[in-house]
Amino acid sequence: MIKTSSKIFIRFIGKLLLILFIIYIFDFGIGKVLKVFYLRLEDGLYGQITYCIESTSADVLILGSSRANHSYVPEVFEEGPYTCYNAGRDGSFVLYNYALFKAVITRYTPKKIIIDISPDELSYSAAEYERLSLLLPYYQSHPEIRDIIDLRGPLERVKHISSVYFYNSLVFQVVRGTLPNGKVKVQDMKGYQPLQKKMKYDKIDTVKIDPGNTDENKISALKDIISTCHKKNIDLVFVYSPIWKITKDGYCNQIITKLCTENGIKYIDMSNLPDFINRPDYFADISHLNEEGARVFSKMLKNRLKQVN
Amino acid sequence: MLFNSIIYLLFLLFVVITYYCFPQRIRWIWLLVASIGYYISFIPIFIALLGCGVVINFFLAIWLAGIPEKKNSGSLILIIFLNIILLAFFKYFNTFFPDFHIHLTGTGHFFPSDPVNKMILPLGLSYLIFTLLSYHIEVKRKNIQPETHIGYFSLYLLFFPRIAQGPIERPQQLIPQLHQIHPFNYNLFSDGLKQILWGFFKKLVVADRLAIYVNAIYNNAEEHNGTSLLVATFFFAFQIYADFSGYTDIALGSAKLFGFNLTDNFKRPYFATSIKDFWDRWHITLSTWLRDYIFLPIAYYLSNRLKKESYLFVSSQKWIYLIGIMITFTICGIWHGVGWTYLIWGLLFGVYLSYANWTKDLSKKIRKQLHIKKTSPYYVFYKILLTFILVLFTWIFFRASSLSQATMIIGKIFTSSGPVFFYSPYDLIYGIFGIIVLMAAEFKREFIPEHWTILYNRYPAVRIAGIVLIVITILLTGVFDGGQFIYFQF
Repeated sequence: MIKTSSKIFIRFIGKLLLILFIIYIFDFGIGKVLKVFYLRLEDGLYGQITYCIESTSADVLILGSSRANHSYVPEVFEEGPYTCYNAGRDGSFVLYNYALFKAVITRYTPKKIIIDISPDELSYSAAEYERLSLLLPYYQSHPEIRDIIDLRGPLERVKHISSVYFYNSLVFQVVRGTLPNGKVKVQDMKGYQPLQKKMKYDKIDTVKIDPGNTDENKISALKDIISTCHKKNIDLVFVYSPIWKITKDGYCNQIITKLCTENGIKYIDMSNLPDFINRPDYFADISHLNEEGARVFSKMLKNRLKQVN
Repeated sequence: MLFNSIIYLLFLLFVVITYYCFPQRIRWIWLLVASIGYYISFIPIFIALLGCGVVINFFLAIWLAGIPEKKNSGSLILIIFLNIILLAFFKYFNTFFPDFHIHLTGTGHFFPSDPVNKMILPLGLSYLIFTLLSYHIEVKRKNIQPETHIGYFSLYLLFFPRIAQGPIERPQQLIPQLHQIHPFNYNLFSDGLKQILWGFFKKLVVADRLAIYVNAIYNNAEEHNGTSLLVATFFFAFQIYADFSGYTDIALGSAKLFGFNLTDNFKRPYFATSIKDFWDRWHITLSTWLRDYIFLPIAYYLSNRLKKESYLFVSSQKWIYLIGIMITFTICGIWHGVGWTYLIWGLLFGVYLSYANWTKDLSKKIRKQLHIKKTSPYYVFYKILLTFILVLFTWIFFRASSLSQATMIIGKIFTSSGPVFFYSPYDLIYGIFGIIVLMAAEFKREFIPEHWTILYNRYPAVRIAGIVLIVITILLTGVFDGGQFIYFQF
């Protein structure tokens, strides 16, 4: 009986291995096909990321979250031969930008990098680690960002056995991207996405930023960005763009100020400028400027950059 | 160690391989060790509590069995009281003592977790207590002899595939299996793997995907219009089903790998043609538990007390049903949690069922007058749709954070229309895709079980193609950063 049972078990293991092999073949093949089509996406979020990582050679590169994406108008910063690309993305903070920075730096050296910061930029946020999944399609072709993506979890590497996993939750986007559509290609927009609406809220709140759990990974990332920029002679600037709230005792502000002072980096705090805190019509919501506000802010920042230079 | 994690799969693989390496007579010891290890991976300290509970109840059952049937009611009440007190302490402590802070350290023994400064319900305690109560009641009724082997008894209660969220196993179902030897069973093992795979599909592709939209809307319900709230409620109906039945599939599949058959908790509930039918298909081990140990004893007690044929022109039978069902579903609501939302959720089902019972004759008459056949596909469709809408309404209370939020949501659904909110249309597309696949599979199993079989097709190529398709779909569309199972909190 035991012998029969062992035979059945061995037969079962054989079949299981065969199925796993077939799964592996299909997974590998589908992964390769998805990669080809994914890299062809020319619009939307994924087209923008691919363009930033694989193609842009802008002199001025803007990094940050949605606040960067909606507040910095690239054409304002383009003067003479200088070009600019806005790589800011919704919900993407230091770690995402660090990965983007590393991928870009491996390919070319921008002249200037502007990093927009948010009030709680340095707090630990599980969602931010999840957001790193945006960079999964580049995991295999960009070894320099692997360490950052692996921060998503202790078993993240196990998931990378699958080729399809790198395109998780992207299949419908890839299918849509292969169909003809009239959307504007990313290189035409230079990454910037204007917001048109005007905020109806006109009361400005004073908020105390809770230090929360400072994420050491983020501080290390900032330090590495600073040291790489020093080595590569890149003009690095941190900017705190306008926000519709008065922030008090911002711990993030303090940490970044200290880092910048220690390393001789420019830090421009424009969060609560009177030109903006009296103009709710410049905002789309409490965190984001609309197009009108973004143009005013971009011109002001450009002048400030000239002054500090 | 959540079921929907890679670490669980690695744990399961290790335990299964080692299980079949051990001699058959000592495999139960390995399963018990693995079960304790599984439980410790959550909050280690609570294993001590569970251990004490298991030992005390083991001896209490033997003591109860020694008392003659006519004299053991008091002893049973005492045992029930002791167990309920333990459950109530953990489950309702924060509700009754909201300002009392207790600092629990080491809650994240294996994985990082936030500090805890309130009482937390030990994982699976509700299910454990309900399992224990059914065990004691069956011993009291002399339907079973108490288990005299503390090892088997412990494994019956702590068996890791079912400890977190059930199923609430009856002793007659599981204990005899523990005494049997379980050589490797090809068909059962293969069936278990397929069930685990389908459970992962339900959890990762359907439940966790829908959760993204549902949470986004319900967590800011005040900001959204009625259309978005209706869509979120519709999604929640499938989220909770896919979440819980996905867990159950993984639990049942895991148990099959060791040669055990656990009781299924779901039988395609959204194809139910009445609320009674719904409860025959939804969380079956809880609904049958409530029927056998709450409703029927109440009905039996009342039928002995109500001597008249009718009261207030209504037959005694209908009064008995009304009282019994309202008490049963009040308990069902409270079991899920403290708060008006859970209570009303339970009471609504009580009202639905009572209404159906009281108007049974009337609806029969109407159907006859309209010459509607009970088996007519249109009538069946109408009944399924009506049942689904009634259940959907109850889910608003189940998901809402408070009664005021629930009433606000209901108000908005009926008064405030507008475009459906979405941050990205793909949030909706992936969610709808998951629902369509899930319901198509359920439809097939409900109405044409013999046709279009994929995972159990007689041709191996079709079976393998089905497995590959499900795995690839999970990898492509599953949510791998999703959270825990909803029913963990109960």
